Amino acid sequence: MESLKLGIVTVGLKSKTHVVLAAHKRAADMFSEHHEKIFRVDSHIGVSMAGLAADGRVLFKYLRRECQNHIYAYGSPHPVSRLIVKLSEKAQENTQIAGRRPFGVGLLVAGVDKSGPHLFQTSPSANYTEYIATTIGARSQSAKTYLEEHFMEFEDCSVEELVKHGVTALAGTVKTKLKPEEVSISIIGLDRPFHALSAADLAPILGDIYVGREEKSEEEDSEAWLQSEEDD
Amino acid sequence: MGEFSPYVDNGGTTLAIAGPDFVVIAGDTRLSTGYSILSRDVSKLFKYSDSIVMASSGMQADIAELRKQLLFTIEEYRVDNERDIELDAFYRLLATVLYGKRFFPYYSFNILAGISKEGKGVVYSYDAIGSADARTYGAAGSGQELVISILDAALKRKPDPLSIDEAIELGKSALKQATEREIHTGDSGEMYIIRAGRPAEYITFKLRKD
Amino acid sequence: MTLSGGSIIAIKYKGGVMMTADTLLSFGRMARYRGFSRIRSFGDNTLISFTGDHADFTTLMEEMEKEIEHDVQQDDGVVLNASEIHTLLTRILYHHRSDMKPKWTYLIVAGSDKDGKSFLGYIDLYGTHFECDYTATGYAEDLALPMIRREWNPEITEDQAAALLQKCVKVCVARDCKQSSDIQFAKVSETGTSLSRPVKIDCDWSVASYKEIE
Repeated sequence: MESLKLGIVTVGLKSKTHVVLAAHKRAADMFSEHHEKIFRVDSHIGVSMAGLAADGRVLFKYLRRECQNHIYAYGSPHPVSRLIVKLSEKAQENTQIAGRRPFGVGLLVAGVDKSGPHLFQTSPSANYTEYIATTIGARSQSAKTYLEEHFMEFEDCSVEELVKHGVTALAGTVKTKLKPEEVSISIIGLDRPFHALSAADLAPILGDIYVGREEKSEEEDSEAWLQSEEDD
Repeated sequence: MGEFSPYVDNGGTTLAIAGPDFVVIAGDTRLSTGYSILSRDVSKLFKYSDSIVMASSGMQADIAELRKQLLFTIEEYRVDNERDIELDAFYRLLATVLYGKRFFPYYSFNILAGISKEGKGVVYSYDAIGSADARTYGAAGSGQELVISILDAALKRKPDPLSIDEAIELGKSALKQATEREIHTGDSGEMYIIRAGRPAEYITFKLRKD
Repeated sequence: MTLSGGSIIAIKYKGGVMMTADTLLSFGRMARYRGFSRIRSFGDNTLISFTGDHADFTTLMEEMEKEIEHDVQQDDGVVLNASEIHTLLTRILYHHRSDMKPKWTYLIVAGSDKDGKSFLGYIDLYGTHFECDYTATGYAEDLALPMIRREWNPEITEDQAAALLQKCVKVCVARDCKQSSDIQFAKVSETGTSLSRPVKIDCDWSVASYKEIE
């Protein structure tokens, strides 16, 4: 369970028509690249992860294979809820069989199928829950607070509003001002398959969010970075 | 009952013609076994990306399986590389997948059409077990002999460069002429017109139904 | 020699799909079992019918029952539609032919696709498959298909479809020596599937010369 509190923050939220994943892709240290945190499983499903990325990739590959197998056998996209059940069954074995360890990763699985948009959270214990909006990762509490305050509005949100809510929730979890290249947003809609927003798309959204907020000094900025390093 | 033969020939004719910065690829839509027509509307063309189209004739069940295997692999490729597969890579992939079944081959005769990295139209022509080469035009299937001689006559010693409208008309007319003389070809024709830097355009045309 | 089933004819009409099959299982040219339903309904939205080997069909349907039962047990509202069943059966038949152990059947699958539109699909023992507006297997492929091609259009009503099938079946009864005159009609539409009791096609055999000899 602890792994849900580790790693970067990722937020998921859905409306009647869309489901959005947002993640903060902070670089591991000053000299490293940003890591992509949201992955396309199939044209109708995406995941983001918090915890051990290596474990996450194993699960992600499993999900991808299951989706491809479903297309092969049935000629249709994998139903999202069924995929979560399969994932959970795989994770559960590791909690019970001697000599194995659980997958140290929590996933947000966002997807759209015949029954509409879905957002699931899975955990190392093999538990899974469906949400309207949720968040996992280090210091996700402030994002959770934001989502709790606003989730009633999400159902009728346009996709633009939904993205803005996602980014705002994410922005609350970091002490620095988010830069467009540090934020990763992916959207799946009833009418549009999985797609990511570019940094150029994100710049105006971030601009809107930070309007009226005070700029932090460079010094504070670097301290915040050190602080978050200790958190991990 | 004799030994079961796992193969059927579902007939049909395909062709492709490349030009300096474009390529057209076409096929008929008849699906037959022996003397009976199973369907008049089954496509032989398959678009893998904006600039790669494959035309396959032979056994429809094997072709469907081959397409699924290729789709599986290029989906992996797309996720791993975050871009669509390119023509030269796809050409090798198809050869490898076909040769992978060297001792129980897919009964399929494929033509691959696309735009190369340099922006040129290219046609690759395959045999059933993955031997392939790049050409400027090709034909396959039950009307191969008829179509290839029409294309030879029109293109082999053509003095001026081929225009896109000429290629489209030549492709349509070659299929129409194959339909006149070859019973497994007909019903309707379809064609992808692929130009460099533009998504493939799809057109259909009528063929004799008898 | 094995038990086998004869022709099937299936057509789409405005609002659904209708199919017909006789109720005879033959053993070679012997009429072995009468009153056998060759059309099966799956879930409440799919019909499957076969021409060819009865034992192979039964084995395939047991496999399909497991799939349907799996959906029922999950109880999450996800059920296979006819288009998905068609793809799955195609993969199964192709797999068996690739093992050189073909399931000697020609299958017709009717129902609806993911958008709720009418679906009609054909599969054979090689894994050849396609969607269509009308199709026929066995002798009906030669006898009935030309008649359907002449008369069918996408706006055809349920009554017109039934009349057309009736006409086709009558020709099959007259011309195909293995066709029984006890016929079942089945349809699948938005309201679900329905399968008729076997009905008798009355053919006038008074023209036949054996009548005079009697």
